[in-house]
Amino acid sequence: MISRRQSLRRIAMVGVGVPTVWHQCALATTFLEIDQAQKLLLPQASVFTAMPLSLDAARLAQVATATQVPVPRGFAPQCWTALDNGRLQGWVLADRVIGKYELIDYAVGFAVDGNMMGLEILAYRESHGAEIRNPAWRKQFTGKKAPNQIRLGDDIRNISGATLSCQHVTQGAQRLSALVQLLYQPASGV
Amino acid sequence: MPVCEGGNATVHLVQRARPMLGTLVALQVRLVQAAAPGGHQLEHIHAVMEMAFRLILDIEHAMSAHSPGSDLARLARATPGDDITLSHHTVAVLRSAKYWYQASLGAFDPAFAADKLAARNVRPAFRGLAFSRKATLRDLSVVSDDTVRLQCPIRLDFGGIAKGYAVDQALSVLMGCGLANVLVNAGGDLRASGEWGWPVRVRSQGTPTHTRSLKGLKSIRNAALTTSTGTNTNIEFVRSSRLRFSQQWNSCTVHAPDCVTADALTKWGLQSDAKSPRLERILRAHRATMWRA
Repeated sequence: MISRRQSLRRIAMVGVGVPTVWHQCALATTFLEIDQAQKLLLPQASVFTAMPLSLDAARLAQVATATQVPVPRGFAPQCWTALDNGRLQGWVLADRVIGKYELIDYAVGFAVDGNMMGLEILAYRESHGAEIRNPAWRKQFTGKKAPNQIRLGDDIRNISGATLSCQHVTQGAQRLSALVQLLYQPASGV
Repeated sequence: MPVCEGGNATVHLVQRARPMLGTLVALQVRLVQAAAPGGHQLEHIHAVMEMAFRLILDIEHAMSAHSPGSDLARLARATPGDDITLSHHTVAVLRSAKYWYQASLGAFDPAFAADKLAARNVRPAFRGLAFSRKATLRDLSVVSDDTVRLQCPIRLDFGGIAKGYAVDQALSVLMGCGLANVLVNAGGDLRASGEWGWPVRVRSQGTPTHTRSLKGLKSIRNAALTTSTGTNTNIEFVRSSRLRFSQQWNSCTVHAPDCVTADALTKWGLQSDAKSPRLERILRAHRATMWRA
């Protein structure tokens, strides 16, 4: 037999509990695949060839000095040379930054003189801050694995709310720009 | 990422995003057709999206309080009585700002926000300027679609509505070029066109990784939805002195036909009592709905 007092206590517990059941975002949106972004960033190029970058400590220090922002740990952008009929048209570099609570993949196109031609966001993944700091969680986004496996239902959930900053993307693009300036110097040997 | 919708029709989303307006601006086009968009169709959509991005960039350049060369910097350095030629975008936002300043009896006030931000020295457009008196939007009159006249220099920060204006304009470009089901999302300022209902949620204030649903609203269709946060995180736009402590709001979300209206109403809503006949009347007149928490 449940007393009236016990019933009220149970109702109160449910009342307290319900509002705390927030939806935790594992929101993800893929905007462009890298091959689509490459064509949009440097439409004059017909072939994009992956080019491994060897970034030693000295090179990273040069990038940090040029941008006046420390290079984040694990900074390892991908690079493609853009060609048309064998002639160099520029480079496309792709990197990812971790914002306050989100992981953002982006690509930047550069002309042969090092000028930035454009920036495209490839994917945006927003999740719990603790997950962002977890290497295992971040690892799932390496390569092409994650973006193609996100369900459409997740993709189209749009969030209204306090504006999230794009400061880290801007800083990241400046970092890639500094790197391309080093690329552009033939003696640099990047 | 296609999803089958019955028969041969499949849903396809074409999406792009760029860092703009201090946040990420995303454009999304929803297509229901048998084949994935490609060739000329995809080229057309990307070209239209490029136009929309360029327009947003123009609006950003005209109304950035971070840029010493913006229209807002020129208004702050104006000579009293002179006619000042501005971008037609700036004048359109000024017209809206004057309307909402009057309608809200000063609750929506871009001059108050600019003074606060200038005092913190975080708006380069206003650096090194000394003002003999604080100007208000009453000191500014619109002469034509690209000209205004000032009684005295004025500092304005359109953080309250310029983003909403940019969203509205970008949507007009996308629609004007024949794209039907479209959503523009500027860091949480949303506006959708077409008959498709775009699912929406609201970011939780204080714990941005969490979201919640809105009572009675699961999606937006041919409408805008914006959210602003309250006194603790938005002191430039929300004057706590306008409310009793017990009436402080943490966030305000507005559903309205366009993003400028929704943006302005969120700032007003955060500074208004729970029952305000004036606010209720304006909400009805603009076919807007407000949620506050």
